[in-house]
Amino acid sequence: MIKELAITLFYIILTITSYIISDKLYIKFKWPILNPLLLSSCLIIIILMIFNIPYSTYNKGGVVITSILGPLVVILAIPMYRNRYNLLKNFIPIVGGIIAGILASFVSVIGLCKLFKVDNSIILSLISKSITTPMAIEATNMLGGNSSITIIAVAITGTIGAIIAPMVIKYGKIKSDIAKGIGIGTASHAAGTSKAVEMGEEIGAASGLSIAVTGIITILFIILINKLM
Amino acid sequence: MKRLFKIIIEIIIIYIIYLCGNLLNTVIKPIINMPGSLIGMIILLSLLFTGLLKLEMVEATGNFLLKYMGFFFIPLTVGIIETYVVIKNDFIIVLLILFISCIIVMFVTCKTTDYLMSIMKGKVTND
Repeated sequence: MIKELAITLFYIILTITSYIISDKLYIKFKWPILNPLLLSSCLIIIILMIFNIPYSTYNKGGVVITSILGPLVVILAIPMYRNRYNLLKNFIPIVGGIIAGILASFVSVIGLCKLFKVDNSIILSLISKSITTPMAIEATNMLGGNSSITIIAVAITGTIGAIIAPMVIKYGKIKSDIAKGIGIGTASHAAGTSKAVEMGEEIGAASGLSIAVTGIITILFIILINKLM
Repeated sequence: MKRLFKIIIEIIIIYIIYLCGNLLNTVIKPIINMPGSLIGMIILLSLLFTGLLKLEMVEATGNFLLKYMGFFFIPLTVGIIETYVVIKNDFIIVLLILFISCIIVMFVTCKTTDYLMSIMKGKVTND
């Protein structure tokens, strides 16, 4: 019992330590590739590999950290409430942008998969990669894909989104903070939103909002597609 | 001491809202499988809008957790080393597809929102 507790605590501390180190490095060098989420994950993966520790052992501490994710999404209501007037005022551009993003996601996944000659079963599992995990699993089940592939795709997409967000916004010359947040949240759900929150209060609020809206609209689209086919 | 007490109350409030979200999720699951966390987000938002809950009652904990939000995703990202075997043979290609698609989606969404916002703003000033 005490041993179990010690193991759990050890891996939590390992995760916190690697996050602090990564964050310090990121602040020092400011390279997007040194994104703290990616860097600390890589650091932990390397440690697990060197000492031959299975993921299931690490995850004894990991699940404790992951269990905060649910309440964290609830908390996203706070920046949304603080920016309520601006978000409500831009209701049409926000929904319009999200619908454009969802269509871009469908088209780009199918197009790229066809280009690289990827199996149809994988295509169906990648379609919903931009939305939050529970909803993505639901979407993949409706399409008849493999939901374990979806879970990985969602995790990878979130990490990629957090890394590329500053570059897409800079080189894409995105002007308004709301547009920045909506883009990040629509492309890369909650993990991307963690980056958006860092970039600014209004960006975080818009990104949090788009997690919910993108999830719902994507599911509705898939229901519609299923009905038509 | 008073501050610690306040934080504990805040955590309890947030957690209760989250649990309510999960409970509601099981009810509406047959219609749409909306995660409990997202339902909780809508509940918290409604409570704030109706004034039943003041922002000060959740703000301190909220600000702290949001500041370090990225941290809580680390175990999931580390988990990729275990789950990637499902697509072992196509892993690199899938990674490439997800990367390109993510850039496209983010760019298209940002640009469309930006564009629609500027049109609407133009309309307002023309009126």
